[in-house]
Amino acid sequence: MTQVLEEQRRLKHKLTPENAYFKAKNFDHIASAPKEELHQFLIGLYGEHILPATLHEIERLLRNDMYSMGVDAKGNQKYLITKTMMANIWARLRDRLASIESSTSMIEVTSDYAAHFFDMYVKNHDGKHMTGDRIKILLLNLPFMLRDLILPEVICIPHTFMKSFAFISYMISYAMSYTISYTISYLMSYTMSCTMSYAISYTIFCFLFDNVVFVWKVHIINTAITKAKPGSPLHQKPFVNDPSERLIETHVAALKWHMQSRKFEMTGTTLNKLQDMSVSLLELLKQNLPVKSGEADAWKFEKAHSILHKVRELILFGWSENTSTQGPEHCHIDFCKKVANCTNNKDVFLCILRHHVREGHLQYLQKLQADLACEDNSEEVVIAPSAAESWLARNDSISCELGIRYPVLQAILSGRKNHQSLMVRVV
Amino acid sequence: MSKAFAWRPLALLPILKASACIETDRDWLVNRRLDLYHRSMDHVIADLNELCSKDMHLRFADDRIRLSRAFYHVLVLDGAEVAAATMCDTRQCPVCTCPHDELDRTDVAYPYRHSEEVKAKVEAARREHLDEEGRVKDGHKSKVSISYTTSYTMSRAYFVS
Repeated sequence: MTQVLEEQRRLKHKLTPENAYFKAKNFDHIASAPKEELHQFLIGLYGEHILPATLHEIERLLRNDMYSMGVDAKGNQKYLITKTMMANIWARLRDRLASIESSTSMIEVTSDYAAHFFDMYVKNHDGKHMTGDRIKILLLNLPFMLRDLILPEVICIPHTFMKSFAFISYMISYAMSYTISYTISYLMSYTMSCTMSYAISYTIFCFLFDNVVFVWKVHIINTAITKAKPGSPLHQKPFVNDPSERLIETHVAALKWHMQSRKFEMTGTTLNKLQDMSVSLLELLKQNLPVKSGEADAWKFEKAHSILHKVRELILFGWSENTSTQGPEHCHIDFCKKVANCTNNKDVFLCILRHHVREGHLQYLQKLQADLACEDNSEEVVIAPSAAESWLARNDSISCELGIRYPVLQAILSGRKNHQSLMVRVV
Repeated sequence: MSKAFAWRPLALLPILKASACIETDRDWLVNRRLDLYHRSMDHVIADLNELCSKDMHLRFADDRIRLSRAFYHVLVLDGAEVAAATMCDTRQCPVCTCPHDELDRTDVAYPYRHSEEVKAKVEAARREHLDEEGRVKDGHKSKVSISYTTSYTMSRAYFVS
């Protein structure tokens, strides 16, 4: 390790070039950089890390070396859960998402949205990024979509383990289910018609055969894994289980944390609660998604760590929306991109800045005309605008994206020629 | 960098594409990009310092004129931009002193970092390791033998975006 790099790492600051913000007077730029919620949590932590980690966890559990069926002719591992079966799982998740409709869920998820999710997270399409609103929809819905998502595949695993005595296992399962359901139907036949009691009996039989007996089989395998001694192929192998519960627990914790962090007018008690939730969310991420998406550092990165500083940010800067760019961030489309598309790409940014200056002049003229019109109609009774109307009439046409450029705009337009300045001279 | 020219790197938010640059060393590109950003921000910060140093009369939205004083407010940035402003690695926490290997720990609260404190330490380290022109001193090893001397010779390739 070199001296300069060591020093930089120790200080958490590069030695070169010289930091311009050090020259800002009475401004602690390090303490004054709150995380922007959209990029930090919604798209940043949840969209880019928790979601892919969830899909990776499912794949890691199902396509495990333990469930390998040997190697094929080319020497590749043959997994019990094939790639086609995995594709079916993701298609199932996509279809579950697409089935959300407003009449039952208050929100509508279109098939386009579900396809977008599929492209981004399953096909890993680089160009398919989700907006904050789309991530919020996922945050609200995904916990409900994950339950029993991979149940059919998990059921396959005990069948394979018990291959050697599959017939016996099948017979025992059948006998258990039949006995219980027949007893119930026999008892019910005293109170209702035979047809009805047989129908109920058949339903109970199917349920028992598909679910309860499956749990029994999983229990046998997990007991065998627990009792396996060193040298046994089952020694220290992971247990067969459906990870739905813990994945849902993690996603619900993320949703609750987000809702808690966005509460308005937080008190000391609610801030304490949020801090506890931040700690428990990070602990849950480590516990339930231990390998994240396969990275060695797992959850040791800044975005995951930053949730621990959320309370500090709320105390210093207030409600999350104060430091969020969600709405205004769209401004760069209206104020930069759309204007830029009207140019021939020659001096494009200068053109954009000039466009805004001209627009400012036009607004000023319009205001003068409106004032003149008011003077002409001075006899008319002027009704004072309500607070809501005044708020709506604000001039929102200057984008936050351009904020940083306006101080240098004066230099470009030779300072005094810019008549848009709000400064006034008092004589 | 001249004041009239400073708007260009800020407006373009320059992305130095390695494929479009003659110099492809990653450290050089990172340093170059940071240098462009901070030298451009010098002019903005100088203007803002000037603005914040004196009282002025401003017309407010209710058409009344009031004696006012400007002040710095919070920076609202996301990951890469916070890293550029604080010159801290994106893998590190810019807010507290928690080391990278312990970023997932929830049982320890590390002290916060502050600009003045960091500035004093950085200046001391610069004096120790760098010469007056910003180059690594002889005997103070750097990862790569690149010059950190700033050169403002603009090449068209650096601004291809």
